[in-house]
Amino acid sequence: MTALPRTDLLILRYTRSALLACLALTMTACGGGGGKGGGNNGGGATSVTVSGTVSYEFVPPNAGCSGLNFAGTLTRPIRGATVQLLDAGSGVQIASTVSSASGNYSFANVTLNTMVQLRVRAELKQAGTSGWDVEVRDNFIAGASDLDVPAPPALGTRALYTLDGTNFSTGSSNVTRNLTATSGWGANSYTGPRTAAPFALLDTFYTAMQFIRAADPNADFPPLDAFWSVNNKIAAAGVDLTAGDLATSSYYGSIDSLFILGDDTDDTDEFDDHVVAHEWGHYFEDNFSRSDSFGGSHSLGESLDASLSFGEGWATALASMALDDPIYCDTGAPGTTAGGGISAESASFGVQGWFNELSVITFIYDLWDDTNDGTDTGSIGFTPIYNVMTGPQVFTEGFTTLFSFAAELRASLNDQGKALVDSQLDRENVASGDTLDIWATTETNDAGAPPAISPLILPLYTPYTADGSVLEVCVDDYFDRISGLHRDGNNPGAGRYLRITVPADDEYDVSVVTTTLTPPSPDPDDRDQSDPDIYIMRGGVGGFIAAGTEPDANIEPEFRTMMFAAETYSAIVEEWRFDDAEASTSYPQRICMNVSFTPTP
Amino acid sequence: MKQVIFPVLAMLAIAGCGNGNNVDKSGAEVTVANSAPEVSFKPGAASDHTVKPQGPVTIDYKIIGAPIVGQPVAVDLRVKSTLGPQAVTLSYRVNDSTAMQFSDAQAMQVSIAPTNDEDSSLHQVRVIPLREGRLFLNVSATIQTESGTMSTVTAIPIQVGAALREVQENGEVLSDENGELIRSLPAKED
Repeated sequence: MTALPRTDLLILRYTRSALLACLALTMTACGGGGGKGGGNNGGGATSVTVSGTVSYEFVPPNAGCSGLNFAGTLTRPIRGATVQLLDAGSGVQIASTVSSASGNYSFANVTLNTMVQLRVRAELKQAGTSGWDVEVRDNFIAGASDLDVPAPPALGTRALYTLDGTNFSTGSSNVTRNLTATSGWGANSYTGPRTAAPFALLDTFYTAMQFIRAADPNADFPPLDAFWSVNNKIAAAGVDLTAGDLATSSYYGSIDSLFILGDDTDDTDEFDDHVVAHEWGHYFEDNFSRSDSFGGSHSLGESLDASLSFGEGWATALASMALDDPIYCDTGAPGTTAGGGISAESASFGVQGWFNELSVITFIYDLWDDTNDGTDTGSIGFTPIYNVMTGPQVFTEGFTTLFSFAAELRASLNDQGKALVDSQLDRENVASGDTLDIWATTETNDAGAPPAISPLILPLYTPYTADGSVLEVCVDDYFDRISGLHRDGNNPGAGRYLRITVPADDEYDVSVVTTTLTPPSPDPDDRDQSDPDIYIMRGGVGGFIAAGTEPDANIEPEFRTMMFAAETYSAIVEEWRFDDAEASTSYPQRICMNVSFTPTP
Repeated sequence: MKQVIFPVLAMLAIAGCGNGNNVDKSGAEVTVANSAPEVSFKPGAASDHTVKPQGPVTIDYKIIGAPIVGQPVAVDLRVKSTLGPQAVTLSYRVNDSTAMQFSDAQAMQVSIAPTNDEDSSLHQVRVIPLREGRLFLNVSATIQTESGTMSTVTAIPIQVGAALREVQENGEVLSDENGELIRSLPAKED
């Protein structure tokens, strides 16, 4: 038997029931779980109840989002998490439960005088067809890299965070044990384990899921893994998840995973709940809706590709709605005043329009919120927004943009709702009214592009009939150049949307040939030749169905599509060098290409 | 035109959000990579990876030389803005005046107009570390827009003395009864 504290030995010596409990403990340890035989706490009690609360410390931001306010630390319940009662000696689970919305837990019928331990797992589990499965794990492995051979352990097997209490005896009467995950903050820096962080993340996910559940009680959440580490930092040299090197806090759609910054000498995001909920918003869009966003870095107020601006704006708006707080804060290194924020209610800088994620944020948020702030006096609530995101937006024939969202949303509303949508679109300088469509046909806002650039911004889509004719398409990275040449290829004009009419069921040969001369640069390492690519999307099936992404210079080798149906498809043609951080600095600003879709014999 | 009710608080922090990745090399000039990591990808794979927003004003920095206690150290700041050449006001502050102070001649506030011309958007600030450790220079960037004043604070880490970033441990890795790896963190109990 496991050595027990002195007080427990005394109990064992003097109580008969304790002897029985000892036997029961032995059996429990072998059997591994389940409730115990019922008893009562009267004179002949055979079991006790272990109950209490589990909570975590949440550190809010300072006013103005200037750093974290450790002096204002709050204690919040850990909601919906798995709470385990473990045999202290063997570690075997005796029983488990889920903490309530108040952070309460209770284990009834626990054997008397048993050495046990409480554990709270950083996970939210609800089985069933409308359930969820969220885990918070540590992606970091000291000394290891994503590039290791053999490969490091799969991300899904990395260590799950747990909040562990110390061993205690259940004694002979009911026990109350309250567990708190603390921030670890000392006077001026972290001086203890940062226990609260994974549970702060978990609670933001819980809040977001409850928000969705309010609109759709049957919402079924696909598994989500969130990874956080005290070693997760921004790494300019490249992403290495195992080494904790992140681009920044981010969402990876292919693995339904979030990665959140945690290095306190750099930037931490675990208490920046809007940042976390923003990334969760990408998870939502990816799993419940559809996103055609290219991703990449993006700055608030920057003019962005239409799909990117919508996806980013959506994520921030959802964060503010789910958290019921319009102030999006992103604080910097703990202990400093670093940070900043925006109001989803009113943020406005840069050129307003469909290309500005701030316009998307305030448009969606103000449709939802019922605060009479002078700019919007009504609210459509979240349900219509949810219905469009999970319905028409998934199958829109065009790309997922503010236009596809707003047009479908407007169509789903009554006249009062339509008027509110129109007023908010007008406020953001976006086309509105009955003629609003997913193709942005009536849009006139070209993001303030110079006359020479404007024709490459609008119309948003170039119509094309897949009849073998050659269409000249030009792309231009003007907006990237004026914002610092980040080479993300995600600004307006850097790619061209095509609206393709497929005249007949057929397979098509797709060709893209660069016609702009791209002179070699003196530096042999420069990437100085064009690399045209094309991505084809069929709205009815909700996403990209074909792509030509070969690295050949100045041509995308002809490829044959699968059988296309006689309907409308969309495509984007882009110049990969606009995405390429290693492209020649003298690479042309504008590239033109000939595109054709030719029916096959 | 949008009617602004709330004052716009600020832009997002790039502060400590990667506006510079300080690579210390003793005795050599400390070089700093671009703050915003370049994430390049294509659609398809691209939608695979979304990142949090950056503020419209970013500050890249370079620490000139190895910071030494008692010796002035220069920090080059380069300001980039997605809002065009509009003037950005920079002001400087240190959290702990016992850890670092400014040189006597150091202006505490300066206005610059960001451009894509690297030289014109460059500004230098000089500080004197008073002790070893990881110290922070707070740089506040303020910009006027049609909707109000926006400001953000960037914390620039200045490592004085040895030991840059060390791998940190947080809790203890164990296996649970099912063989699953867990990172056990201690609870405060009552």
